[in-house]
Amino acid sequence: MTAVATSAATSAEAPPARAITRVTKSRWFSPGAAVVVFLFAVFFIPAYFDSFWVANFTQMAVFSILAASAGLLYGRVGLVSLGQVASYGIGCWVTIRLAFATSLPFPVIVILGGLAATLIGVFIGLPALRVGGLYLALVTLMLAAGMEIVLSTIKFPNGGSGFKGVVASLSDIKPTRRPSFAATDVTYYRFLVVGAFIMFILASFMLARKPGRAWESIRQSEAAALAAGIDVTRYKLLAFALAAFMAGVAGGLYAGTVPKGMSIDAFNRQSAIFLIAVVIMGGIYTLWGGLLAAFFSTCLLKFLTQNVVGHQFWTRFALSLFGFGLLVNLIQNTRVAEKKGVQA
Amino acid sequence: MRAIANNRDVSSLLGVPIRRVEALAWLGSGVICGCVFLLLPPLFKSIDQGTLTWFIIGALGGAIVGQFSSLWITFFASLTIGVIESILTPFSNSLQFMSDFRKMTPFIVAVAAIMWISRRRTVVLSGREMR
Repeated sequence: MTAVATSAATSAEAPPARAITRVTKSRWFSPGAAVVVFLFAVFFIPAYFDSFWVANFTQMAVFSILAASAGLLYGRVGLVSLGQVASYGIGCWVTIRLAFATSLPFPVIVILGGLAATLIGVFIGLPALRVGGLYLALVTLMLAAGMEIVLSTIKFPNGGSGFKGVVASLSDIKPTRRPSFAATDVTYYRFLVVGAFIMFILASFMLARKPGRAWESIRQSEAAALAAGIDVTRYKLLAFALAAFMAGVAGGLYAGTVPKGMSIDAFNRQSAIFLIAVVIMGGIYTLWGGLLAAFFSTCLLKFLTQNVVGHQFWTRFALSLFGFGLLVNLIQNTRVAEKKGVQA
Repeated sequence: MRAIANNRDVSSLLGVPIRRVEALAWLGSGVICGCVFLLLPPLFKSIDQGTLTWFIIGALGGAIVGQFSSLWITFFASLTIGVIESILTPFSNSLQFMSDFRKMTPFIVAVAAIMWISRRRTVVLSGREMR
């Protein structure tokens, strides 16, 4: 009896922070593995792949940030947002506009683009805080569709004057500038990998600390989180802000990958739905899922449509693969949830 | 169908043939949707998957106003959205922006409806225990 009491007393004295870290440790972004992937991406890929694949890995680096932001909202906070593409578009627009209007260093304007997307993300998040589940998915889809109309009407800046910065004739379109230290495709790819790495570290930093624990609690039960004294509104807004910032920065970095005349195609409603499909396929409970989702949607898609035998078939039907993958994933998840007796 | 919409598990315990009713619901909505899309081609110069996605997302606006439960409210809301969009079409000069952004009507109406529906914040407790 004494021994039991002593052990109970010892466990009660153990620092709770360490115990909580132990519980959440396996689920966040392992820094060792992240550094290995980072070094592989920075040194190995440009050395062993040709310019075509470097361009694909460049797209993958951008998309991984966007996918991680959507996965973070869905998997770690339980908020299904289809509006990440809107923040992505805003970040891209602001970055291009500032690149033409100012001579600020490129990383600074990318961060400013991210902050502009954050402001609008929080603005969107405020009313959306009151709804959840299906209605949140719909309200964010509506906002993404609305943003598509706004962006296609005002168009992306291409070197003109005024607020919109759009030139009158197509021959006057100017190229979007890149940072002076990353002017070539390979150096810009490396710059993007560094940017993506910083974004992933930022997200994992937040997930491993107080906000991450609060989000986990909100995801499991909002009522329980409220009862435990967690400021649900504040932490949900923080999640929206972080996700919007990541998406905005991804948009800003994407701006440099398109040399001239950015089009709306990457920011339309199909992209919004496609994004959530690949994010679910990649996995939403860890940040690695974002990387996997980006791999599926850029490199794998290109590989299927370029190199594989019967690539003409895949050129037409590769996107159906993602729809099929999403269905399999959701059916499997529902079965697992039913087995565990948890509502899906 | 209404019993299943209310509570799927209890309906199955009461002997409602869930799968058959659900299949019937999909069949019914599929037939209606098919008929609608048969009527569309004369209205558009070209129809591709992009136009159809646009159409469906816009139509969701009406469904949201009807809260996915009232067919009549959905019908009249969709009609109103269509009329507003058409009224905004002929603006020009200083009001050109209204014409440019008229396609946003279903989204603005839907977002406003969602905000109105959820004007009182509620926390839903799960019916089952979470393990």
